[in-house]
Amino acid sequence: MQSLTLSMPELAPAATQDPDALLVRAAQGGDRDAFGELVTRHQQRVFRLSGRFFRQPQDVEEAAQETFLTAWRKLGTYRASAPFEHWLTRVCLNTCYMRLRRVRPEEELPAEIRAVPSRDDARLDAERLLDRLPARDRYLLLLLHGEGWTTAEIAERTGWSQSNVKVRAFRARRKLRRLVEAGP
Amino acid sequence: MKCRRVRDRLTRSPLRDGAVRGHLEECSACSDFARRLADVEIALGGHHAQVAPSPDFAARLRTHLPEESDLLGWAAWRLLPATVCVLLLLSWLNLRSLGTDAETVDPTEAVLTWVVDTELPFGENR
Repeated sequence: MQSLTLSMPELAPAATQDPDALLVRAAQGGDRDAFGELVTRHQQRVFRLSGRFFRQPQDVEEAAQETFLTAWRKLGTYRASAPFEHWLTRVCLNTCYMRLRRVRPEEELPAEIRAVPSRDDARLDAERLLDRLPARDRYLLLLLHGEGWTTAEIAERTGWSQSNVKVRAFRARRKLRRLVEAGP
Repeated sequence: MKCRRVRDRLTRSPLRDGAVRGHLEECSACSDFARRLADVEIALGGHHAQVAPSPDFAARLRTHLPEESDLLGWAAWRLLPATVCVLLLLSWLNLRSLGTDAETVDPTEAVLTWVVDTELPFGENR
């Protein structure tokens, strides 16, 4: 009995470490209910992460929906070497990044910031500055300052190399500095 | 410390050491720059739409999932190059074996033929 208990983690590491393992396996076999359960489990996390990049609620919802549809389509590529949650985070980050690149900054900027030149309001001023940055720089700065991730964490979660993240982050901060120096 | 160096440091890290703080107290331009940079960093931290999924999000999403056949079709497309390679390899192996069958003669049979047909130098066969 003792040896059975000790050998359990070796026999089924994925099932014991990742609570989603059984659902993922069922979904990979085409079980839509199992995938629906995965959606229910992870939708809060995906919405929270998508909300970091978009201001409009419908954009956040569309990004979350696209994330799950991509996950369903590519579920066959998930190899269970890492928890499903990490894989889904990467899918979500890639989806948001691609959407950010498609949206032109002035389209994403809310009407109240676009219309009113509120130089006195520091937050709106900062929002306007942020919106003038290219999508890639905004994306990185939001991960660094918004999520509070380190370059190593960003590299792990996006699939980019750490040196690549460092270089991009440096360039993004340099552009931000130039914008700040140039004024509103 | 010069303005440029102070701004370089502030761009790399929001932490301000004694030298940077001293410069900011004296230089109003850099002080203004530091304030605006800090505002942007705070805005980045608070940049969040705070949207929660609607109660029926999972159910609505489920209706949008492609059919299983689409999933299989996608897998088939992914496997298409490998399938074509395997089929080409099998065809090549098949053609190769057909060609060699026509040309080769069983070596045992050749030796036996030689033994039977060859006349010995003594004038008669064994």
